[in-house]
Amino acid sequence: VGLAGRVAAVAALIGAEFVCATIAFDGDDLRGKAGHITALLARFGSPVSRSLVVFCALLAAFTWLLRKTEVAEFSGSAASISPRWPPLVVHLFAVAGFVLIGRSLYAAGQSTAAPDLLTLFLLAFASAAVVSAALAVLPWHRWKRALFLPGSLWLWSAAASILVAVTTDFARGMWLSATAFTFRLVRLLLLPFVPLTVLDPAHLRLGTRRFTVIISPECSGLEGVSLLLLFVGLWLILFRKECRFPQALLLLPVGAAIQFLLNAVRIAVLLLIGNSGARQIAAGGFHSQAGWIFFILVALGLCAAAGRIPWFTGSPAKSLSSPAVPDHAESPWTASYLLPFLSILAAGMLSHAWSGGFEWLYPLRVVAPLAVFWFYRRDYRQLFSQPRPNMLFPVAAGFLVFAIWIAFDSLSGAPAHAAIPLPLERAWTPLRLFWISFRVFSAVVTVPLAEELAFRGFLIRRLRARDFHLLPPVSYSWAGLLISSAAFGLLHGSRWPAGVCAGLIYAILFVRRGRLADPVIAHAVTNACLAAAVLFLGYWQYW
Amino acid sequence: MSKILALSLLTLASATFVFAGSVTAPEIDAASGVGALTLLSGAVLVLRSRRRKQ
Repeated sequence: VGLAGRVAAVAALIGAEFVCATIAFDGDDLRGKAGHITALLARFGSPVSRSLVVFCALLAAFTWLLRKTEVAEFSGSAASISPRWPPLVVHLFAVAGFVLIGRSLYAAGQSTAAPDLLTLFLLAFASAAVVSAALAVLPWHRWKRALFLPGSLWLWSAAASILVAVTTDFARGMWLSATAFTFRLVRLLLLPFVPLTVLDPAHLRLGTRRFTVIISPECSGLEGVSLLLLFVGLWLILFRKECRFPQALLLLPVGAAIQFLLNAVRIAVLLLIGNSGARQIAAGGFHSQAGWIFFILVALGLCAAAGRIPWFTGSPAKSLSSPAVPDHAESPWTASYLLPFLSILAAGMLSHAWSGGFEWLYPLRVVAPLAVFWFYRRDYRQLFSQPRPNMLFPVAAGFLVFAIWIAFDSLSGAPAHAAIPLPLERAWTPLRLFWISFRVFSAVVTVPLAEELAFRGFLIRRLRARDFHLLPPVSYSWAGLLISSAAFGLLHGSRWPAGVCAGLIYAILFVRRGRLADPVIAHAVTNACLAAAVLFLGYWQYW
Repeated sequence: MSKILALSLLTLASATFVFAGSVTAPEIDAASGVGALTLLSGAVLVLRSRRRKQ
């Protein structure tokens, strides 16, 4: 494994531990505790750690993109060095020490003896954990050389992360005036549809007798605008060779204006939904999903414009839609591997957006991938045309993942038993059975197929080569296996540790014999067991 | 792919760290960030894939 793979492994390990620490330990629990150093940690711990994450992400991205030759040279020379176990053992002890001290220091509502001393130990264990993890993958003298690779990029990354922090503060200062403008825009949009009986510009409150909204600064539209500017700005930097300048710069203000306007549309539609009587849908699902849906649509529209409109690309020959096969384009098999999973994600967002307390539109998550499977049926016939698989290993692996899933859930301290959701229990019996049958079909058929195509079939090999479909599955890299499993785990929310383990087991099944059917069967068995636990034992927390 | 991964990770980091914990129902909900940016990066990859020769 070269330098990039090793840095990625350390970053993934420390990143996962960092996320766990932020979930387990709440900075608010430190407030009011004695000790000057503890007070400093309570006040500055969170912003400093955020800035450090931004700084590290920028430094890694800049070095990877701008020092390619040096990184490749160094990476080649580092590939022959084996990982070392003693620092990894030290790392485990340091993490254990960090957890023990953290539990005592962050204990809510309790005074702690010698808090400053505990804080110093906590910071020492955290530093030891980072250093030992780094030394496990590369010896110190190699790290010294690696630290010189970025050169002036250290300064640029520091400056950029400070700029991010300052810009964020500046943007927060703009929120009030932006909120007032959004208020006027929403009022204008609603005029033709409903008479606004509640109109209070002083408190930014507007609505009807049945439903009112208060536009908070966080809903002013600037969140979406800043995220979009960041996305398009990075796009223009990373794919600058494919764009025509200065024309492509126009995408920034156009995108920002569309995103800001769509936020006002979002609030107006939310008010109309609430006014029609669907208060739960308006305040629940739609409120939290519509922002992302609009952001994704605008971002994709701008990417398509940047890559396909000749005025932005420079010449028609550069257009990605051309069959002239530009060398930077993705494999033609990308869509058939990714679209089933993407269709489930998109359908999930839509069904959540139109749900109140319960996701009645879940069948959308079945219909969408089925439509994709039908569209690309010739590709899948080719993919799954191998001889009949040996069922023993996949089925056993499926049961193993089920056991791991249950074990992690028990260890996490989650409630052992969750009742059937009330709306489903109270529903008309045929409707309940209809919903459950779609849920089971999704768990056992469409989700395993879609997720295995995306994470195992696509991601493991795509991390090695753009034309991933030409690579045999047995030519995998451990970095690919780990990254695809980590991505799979992250998509399972709070159950991510079990998700990562499941991903690894399915990945090993895939690369062992190179048959995608193996992990699909294992995944289906796991999900069938979970469905049985839900339906026959009443463990509804697994759905 | 690496560029799209970097793009998504940086956007996700910003969404999580800049907007997290402000209000319960913000415009951009950091809790849905992983799914939303996975969808976006996957869709970008599909958009950038070349047509298959007939």
